[in-house]
Amino acid sequence: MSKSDFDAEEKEFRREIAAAMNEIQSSASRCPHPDQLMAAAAGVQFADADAVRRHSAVCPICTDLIRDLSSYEYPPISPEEDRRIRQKWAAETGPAKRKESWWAWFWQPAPLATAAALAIAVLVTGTMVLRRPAEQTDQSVKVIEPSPPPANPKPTALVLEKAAIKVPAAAVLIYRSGGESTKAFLDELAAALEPYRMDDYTEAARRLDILAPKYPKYAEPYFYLGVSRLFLQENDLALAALNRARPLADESLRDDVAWYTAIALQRLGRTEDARREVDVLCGRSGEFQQKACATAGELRR
Amino acid sequence: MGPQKNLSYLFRFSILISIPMQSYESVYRQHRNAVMRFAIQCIGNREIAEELTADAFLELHRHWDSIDTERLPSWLFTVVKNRAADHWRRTELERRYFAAEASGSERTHAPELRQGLFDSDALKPVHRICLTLRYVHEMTLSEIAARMGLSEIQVKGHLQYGRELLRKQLSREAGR
Repeated sequence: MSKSDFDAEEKEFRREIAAAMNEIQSSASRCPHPDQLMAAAAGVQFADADAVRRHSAVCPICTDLIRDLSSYEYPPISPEEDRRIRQKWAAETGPAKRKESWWAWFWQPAPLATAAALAIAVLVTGTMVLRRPAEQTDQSVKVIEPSPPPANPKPTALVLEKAAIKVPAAAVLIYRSGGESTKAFLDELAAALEPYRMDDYTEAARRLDILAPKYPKYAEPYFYLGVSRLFLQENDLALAALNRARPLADESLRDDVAWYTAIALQRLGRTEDARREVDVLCGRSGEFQQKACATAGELRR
Repeated sequence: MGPQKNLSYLFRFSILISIPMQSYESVYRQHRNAVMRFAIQCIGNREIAEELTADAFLELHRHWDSIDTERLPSWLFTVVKNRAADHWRRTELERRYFAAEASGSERTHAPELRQGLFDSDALKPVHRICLTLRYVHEMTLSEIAARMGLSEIQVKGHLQYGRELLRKQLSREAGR
């Protein structure tokens, strides 16, 4: 870092803010380098990470910098960067060794047709074999039973998919009529959901964790926090957030909350509770009804 | 277990093999920007962040057969975080910036946050970032530009706007 490229006007500005800066730094020690601040905030462990976190907890300059850099939209990966990243795989693995190559081959028409024929053959043979046990038992021929299903098979329909971003309708109306606090909420919600939109659930959870208690009357921060936690496999925290969202959710978000709550419950081994959630959804017409009915059937088995 | 039930298992299996798996390429396209962004946050330097991003996807490539795609992108973030920790250990930057931290940390007793240095509703985050990096951390224009993915002219513009605005605010406050 160099101080030499400050022009005269900048030097003057630095003198103007020196007193305020010294006052802040007198109580919070010297500010760490921004790279260290951000690394510590992101949870990276290094020698002085704890000292950096202690500093940033009491320094308003660093708190602001972390918040601003966290929400800053860095330019996406450029074509040149993309090319270099891909080159790194190619250097190590070579194009022929790519794992997806056999899938790519599989989806060609000929192998696909062969696989389809095989699947049909398996089905037909399976039907014939499974119809024979009763006759064969009489002839004292031992029949090999197929393996029993696992005790709690994972429901195929209760799969985590990203929840669509829904904006509270009432808030939009108030926004249009100029409610300042609602405007602030929607603006902050949009900023917090930006990483969610980009599938960066760690950052989304971090931002929503801050936002949710700030706007305790809205369900959306808790709901998307819950969904983000599910993607991070933090199922107990996800359930806690979804439980907070439930009493706050209006009609438009009610079923979404119930569906993702069912996923959290099922992952936590609370299959009965999960089934109750999907039973309710199954009995209610809406976006989740079909999926819920399919899942309810599976959870009963 | 009757034949009817066994058939349903076979049927399910036949459905299973007809579902196309998510390809490595599509996973890369889906998560590359989020991983890069997280890497920049962990390391600051975009060039090193690019290396960490490449490392994370290379690891994914090596474990592609066993990885559960539901664990993405958090699995990738964990790789980046571990690589970033290695980087910090190697470079020992903290030693350079924290020579005085051992004694300085004893002074961190402020009970609550006070007002920040560049508090103004009219300043956008990008202005505050540029002002802080420049006048608190004394970074050069080119260092700030490289960190933020901006041109030096853009950085200069943000700084100029920020300074003017803060000066106006200060003079208004002084006039009261």
